Amino acid sequence: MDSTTTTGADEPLDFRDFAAARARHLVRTAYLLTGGDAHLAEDLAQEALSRLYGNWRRVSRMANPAGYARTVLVNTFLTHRRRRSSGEHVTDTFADRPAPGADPALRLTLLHALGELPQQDRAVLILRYWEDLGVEETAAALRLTPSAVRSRASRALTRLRASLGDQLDDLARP
Amino acid sequence: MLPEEDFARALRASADLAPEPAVELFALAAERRGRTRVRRRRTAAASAVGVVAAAALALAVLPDRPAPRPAPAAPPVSAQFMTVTLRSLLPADGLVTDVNGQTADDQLPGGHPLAWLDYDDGRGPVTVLLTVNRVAVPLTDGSTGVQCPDSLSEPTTSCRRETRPDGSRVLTLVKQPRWTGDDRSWTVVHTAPDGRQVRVDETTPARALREQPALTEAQLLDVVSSDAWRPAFVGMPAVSAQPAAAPPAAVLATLRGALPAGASFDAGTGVQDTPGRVHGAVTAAGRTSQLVVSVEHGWHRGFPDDPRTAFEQLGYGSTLAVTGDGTRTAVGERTVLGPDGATGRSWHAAALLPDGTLVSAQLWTYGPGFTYSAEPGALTSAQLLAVVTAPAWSHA
Repeated sequence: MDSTTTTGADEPLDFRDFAAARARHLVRTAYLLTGGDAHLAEDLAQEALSRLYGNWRRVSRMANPAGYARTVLVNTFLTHRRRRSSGEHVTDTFADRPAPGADPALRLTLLHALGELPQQDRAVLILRYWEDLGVEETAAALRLTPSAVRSRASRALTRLRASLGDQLDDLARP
Repeated sequence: MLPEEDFARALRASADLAPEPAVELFALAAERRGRTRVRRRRTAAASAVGVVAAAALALAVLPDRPAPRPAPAAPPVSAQFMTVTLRSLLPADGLVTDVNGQTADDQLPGGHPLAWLDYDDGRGPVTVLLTVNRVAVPLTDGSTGVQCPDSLSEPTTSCRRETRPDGSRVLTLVKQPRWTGDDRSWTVVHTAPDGRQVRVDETTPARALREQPALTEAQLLDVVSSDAWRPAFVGMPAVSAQPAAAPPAAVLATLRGALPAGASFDAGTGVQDTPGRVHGAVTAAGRTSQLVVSVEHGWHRGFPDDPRTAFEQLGYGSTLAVTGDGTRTAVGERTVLGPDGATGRSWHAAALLPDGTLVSAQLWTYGPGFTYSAEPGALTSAQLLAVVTAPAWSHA
């Protein structure tokens, strides 16, 4: 699913080039992680990239900066919480779930069901089945044991099947 | 069990609905955000060094003192402190899981330390989120965290305000579900007279059936008023006092003057006493929508190092622009998910005027049960933008 960005030790990437190249994929990953919140997805993806910026000299010489960016994004997602403040400005109150307008019903249903899963279960599913990581890699990224990854994935898929029923077959149909 | 290949295919189909960022601009914005983070970190480090040097110097000039040792600078509160302290203040007979914390440096400019966890009293889990903040003193009815939320945009939230004998303020909020499946929340905010503010939110998961909180309001108040949070404020910079907020009557008068020709605004019959804010129904072109407008003078003072970036982050996801007189603007639209997957729309606009005044507006149309309608609003996005950029707001 994800192409790896590899660089040699003598060829550090330019941050802006890297960010532009990875932006679309990171936003899509964040979109799935957030259960279809477009606004939050863009915010998380940009926040993850901004965290890389401060360590870019080191990150750019990694064997797989794209993989590292993905890990930072997932951690940003897991530690993210919208603060709700009674003194908040009105522009802070747009924390609703956006949804696209055209023919979204089934896909929105899946996103909605994803959004109802615990955050870490969602992260497990996205890394396993969107990022196509193995159990061991997913466990390393989330600091879980491989058995915890397997059990969370199994539990989450079962919940999705219970929640979506036959609709998922329609969505998965090629 | 769901076949894994099917699920992967379904995910790919759903990911196609994600927004398409303008990648060059996106990368530029990420770089700018990263620069701000680096600058803040360096500033914090420099401040810590300064504290050490000043402390050492003060001791050195005093006679008959032992040789001075560098005094440890007050470090920013750690995420661990936040989570450990929150856990220690909760009843011991509940089950605590999914414990997380963040320092201010983990967040956007203007962020503060926070901690959250899931707490289960045996009748189902709730999420407990605690934040600490320092607000400007002296406290006023317009101070952050002392105001009730807007009753038009939060119609199912009840609010109670209290000033305690020691001068501290307590705000208690209870949000009921808007529709079946919506969440409930209970919130208590304690603000000490010296500006230390601790807020806790207790929220049920969506579709939870419990109607009573796992932690009572009294228990929440004990948590936020505890002296155990004092270390979280050490090193947290003082907040400069903001200019007095505009009285609602002044906001209302300015709003009416800023509306397009032919539009009318009905502020309703209820009391509107929140400084700097007014709400009501706007009617134009045969349509009526709800409108909330806020004005905050001196907003830029809260972000002395980079108010421009703070504004852009506030309006991120919106269309950003700068007008000829230096006013920064953000305007956008949201699609809002309601009960049973129904969608509605809302529109927003914000302007940072050259004098640092922030004006923002949100427009939507209520359908049944406080859901958002998908129909066009009474004002277009351009008209909403014109409202918030009116120069008269600087004098509201």
